[in-house]
Amino acid sequence: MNKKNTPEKTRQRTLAFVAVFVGFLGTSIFASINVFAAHQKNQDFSQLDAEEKFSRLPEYLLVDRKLLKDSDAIVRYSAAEALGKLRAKESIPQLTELLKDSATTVRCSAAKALGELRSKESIPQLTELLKDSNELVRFSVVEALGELRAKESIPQLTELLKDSSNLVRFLTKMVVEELRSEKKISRLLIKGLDYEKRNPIFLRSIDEISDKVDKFIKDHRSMDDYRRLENLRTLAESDAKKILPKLIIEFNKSNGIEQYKMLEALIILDGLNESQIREAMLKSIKELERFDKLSGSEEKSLIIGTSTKLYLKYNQKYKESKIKRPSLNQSRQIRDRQWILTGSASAISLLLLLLTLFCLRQVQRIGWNDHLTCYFPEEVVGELIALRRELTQANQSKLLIETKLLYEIFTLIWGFYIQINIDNLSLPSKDQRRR
Amino acid sequence: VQRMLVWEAMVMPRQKDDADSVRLSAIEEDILTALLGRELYGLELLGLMNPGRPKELSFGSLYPALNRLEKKGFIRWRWGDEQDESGGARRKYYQVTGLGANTLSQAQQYRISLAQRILGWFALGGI
Repeated sequence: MNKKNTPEKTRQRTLAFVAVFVGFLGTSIFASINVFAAHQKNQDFSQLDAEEKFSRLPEYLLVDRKLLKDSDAIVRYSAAEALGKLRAKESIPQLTELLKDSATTVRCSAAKALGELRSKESIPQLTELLKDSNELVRFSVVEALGELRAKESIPQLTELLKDSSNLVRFLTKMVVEELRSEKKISRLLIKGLDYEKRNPIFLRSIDEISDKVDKFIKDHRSMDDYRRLENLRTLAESDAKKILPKLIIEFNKSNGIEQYKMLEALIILDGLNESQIREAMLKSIKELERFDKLSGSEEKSLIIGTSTKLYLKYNQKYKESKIKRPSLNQSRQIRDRQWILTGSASAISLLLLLLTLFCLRQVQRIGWNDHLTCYFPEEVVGELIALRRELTQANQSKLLIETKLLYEIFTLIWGFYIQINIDNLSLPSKDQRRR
Repeated sequence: VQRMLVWEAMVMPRQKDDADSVRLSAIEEDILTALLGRELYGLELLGLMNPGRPKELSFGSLYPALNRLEKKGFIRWRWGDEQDESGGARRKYYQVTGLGANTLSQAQQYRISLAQRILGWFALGGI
């Protein structure tokens, strides 16, 4: 090899190094832009379609719509309740802040949500709130502390046994007992008491069967509270299902707030099929999108509540049908963009690499026989070179020679690296033979 | 008869030690036949063996076979002197050892005797 440094070669070498440097720099810049863009896009909901927004509903409510920071107290109240039901752990810091909210309802639902989210870290703030002036707030906090199994707050809870409110005293007694004895009954009882009473249409359907319910309670006086409540609930549900067809007709006729109430009842009674749930959820996302333009607080609150219930029902349906849910952690568009960015970055770096190799080709020329000596014993290299010379002298076409040599090299790789090693296992070594 | 005796004296004890190493495969037998009384390098060997061969041999199958023959002690080699034809790399020249020649002739004789036996069997069957 000629190692003389002519000006031409120096120039080419510099060019090659510049190409490599630019390639590295370009790739790293592309990569960092890519990562940054992906992070940004992950927080930006404006580019997602309705279904994807819905699939990330907890995040959407919290990050994009910022409902916990809404000026309307009812919205904050419904949002806190919804995030608790949606098990949105990422909302814990904001919910803890809401414990100091001016509106009592908001404080109530924030405390309840923290209990549902099993947020042990907010036990101190919750314990502080036991001294709240409002009995509903105290009630919710006691409930949340029971949910969190906050044994450390038993002293503060015991003080509440002398509370002015009957309701608070009753619940505190149950919770304290539960915390001391590790029983679970009381909480289930609370759940039974709290059973979806907010929906008037559902209540109406229960009214229609109230005679039956009364009779049932009379018949089952001997049963303990919890079991009676559970049975009552099943009975109410099974009878309410009879009014489903009527409810669906009403639902299709209605609009506005009335329709939302119907929808809520339908969700509770499980009267919607999957496509109806899908339709309803796309509609609710549209409503959430134009949330700021809505006027009525009740309507807003209903929308939040309904979409939460839809989300939970939809996920449950997916779970039941065991259909593999499409991966929704990342949006489709973001993924596409990432692919384009990564793809172009790698294409550019590959091009630069090829350019570099092309430049280096002139600087450091290594003959192919020198390459071969790296892989094969000397005699084989000698034979291959002789074969090439022989073929060239026989005036064979260049393509044919190269193909032939390439074939030989591949078979030699197999022969030398695999076959000979396998053979040697069963063959005597040189020393053994000479013995 | 004398050659057979010599062969027995030379090879038989070995054969008992490692019977496997004395067995000859078709390609090994071909190589030994081509090398008998000659000194050849790889490309020459291929040039000699390939014409008329149903499936052409390549270096990839020649070298493992040469390795086996060498390990069994049937061939030996020396480095060649001339280097200009092979671009600076030396070549190995292979030769048959006495053991190799004997093993080959034994294999060939076996084949002849087998053919004769078969012919005799046919003759008997013909009657």
